[in-house]
Amino acid sequence: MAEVNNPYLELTEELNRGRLRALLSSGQAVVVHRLAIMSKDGDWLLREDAEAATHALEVLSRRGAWYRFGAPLDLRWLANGWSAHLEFRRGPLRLRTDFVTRPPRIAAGWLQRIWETAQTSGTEVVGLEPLAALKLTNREKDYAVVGELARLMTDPRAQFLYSRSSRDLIELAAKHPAELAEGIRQRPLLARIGEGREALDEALDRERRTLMRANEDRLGQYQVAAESWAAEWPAVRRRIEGLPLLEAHRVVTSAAEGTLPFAPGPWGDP
Amino acid sequence: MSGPRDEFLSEEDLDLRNLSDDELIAYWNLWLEQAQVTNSLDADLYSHGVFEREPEDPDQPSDPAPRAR
Repeated sequence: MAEVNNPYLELTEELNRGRLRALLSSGQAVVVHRLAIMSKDGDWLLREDAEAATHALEVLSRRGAWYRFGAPLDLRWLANGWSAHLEFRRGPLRLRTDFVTRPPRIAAGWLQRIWETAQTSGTEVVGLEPLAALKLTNREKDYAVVGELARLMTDPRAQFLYSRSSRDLIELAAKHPAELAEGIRQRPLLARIGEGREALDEALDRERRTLMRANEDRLGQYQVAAESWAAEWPAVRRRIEGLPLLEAHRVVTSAAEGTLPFAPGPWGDP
Repeated sequence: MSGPRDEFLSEEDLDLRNLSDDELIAYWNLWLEQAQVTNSLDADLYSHGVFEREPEDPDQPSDPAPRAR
């Protein structure tokens, strides 16, 4: 990584002081991969253990951060896919710091390999393939990023899974038929490569709309589960106004217990 | 690859690849500073995670901000 004098890189370094705990993700990771600057907020994949959560809170406390509406930075919620959101000021900058430990569209085994790879390589940034998976959101602009991320991938199997270009896919298929056969099992639209660009473009559009709706449905589940917490939040926010972050964290956590279910679905608790 | 390409991002976006590390960070920081002008527009919005917007405080109603997603 380059000399650290960017606020998000500095914060990542501080989060990882002494031990790898956090990988810079989403829009700021896209910058590190040198694709585009599209977001002013920071997002980290946090290791799911108590020391990592405590360290993150301590780092943010030293920066004078405060809680935004969201889940507490507490593993009982984070382990069920919730996100925690904090914010602080540095000079003219409003820096938002968002954390998840269970990112969407990344299964447990893959998540474990992400951490193992990061530990081995020493990287502090989410890699191309998981970043592409994270970007399969309900926002149109993210699919442009996924398309370019796929072009940076060196493994044709990964390119087959994430490419958003019919031209690229047709060219890849000509060069890598064995990897294509493997890819079709994971991404059915690849079976249409032989039908030409028009059919493939239609399949890519349909796949994008399906992915966008799936993410909307996922967010909808969390929104419903957070209704009571949303109603209570203005009062909680008033209670933590001006409190040091570690103290505010105790207030937020205590208020969320019994109001924000640990898991978002009807299968969750409390 | 040869011939025309499907375009996702602009040449200006992709030009980040041609910057040195120091140039990238300088441009990135400048971009972040300039992006602060929209802070009031997205004060209640979220760009990551599972929350979409800050709940409105019934005691302090505000004008609705545009939705980001």
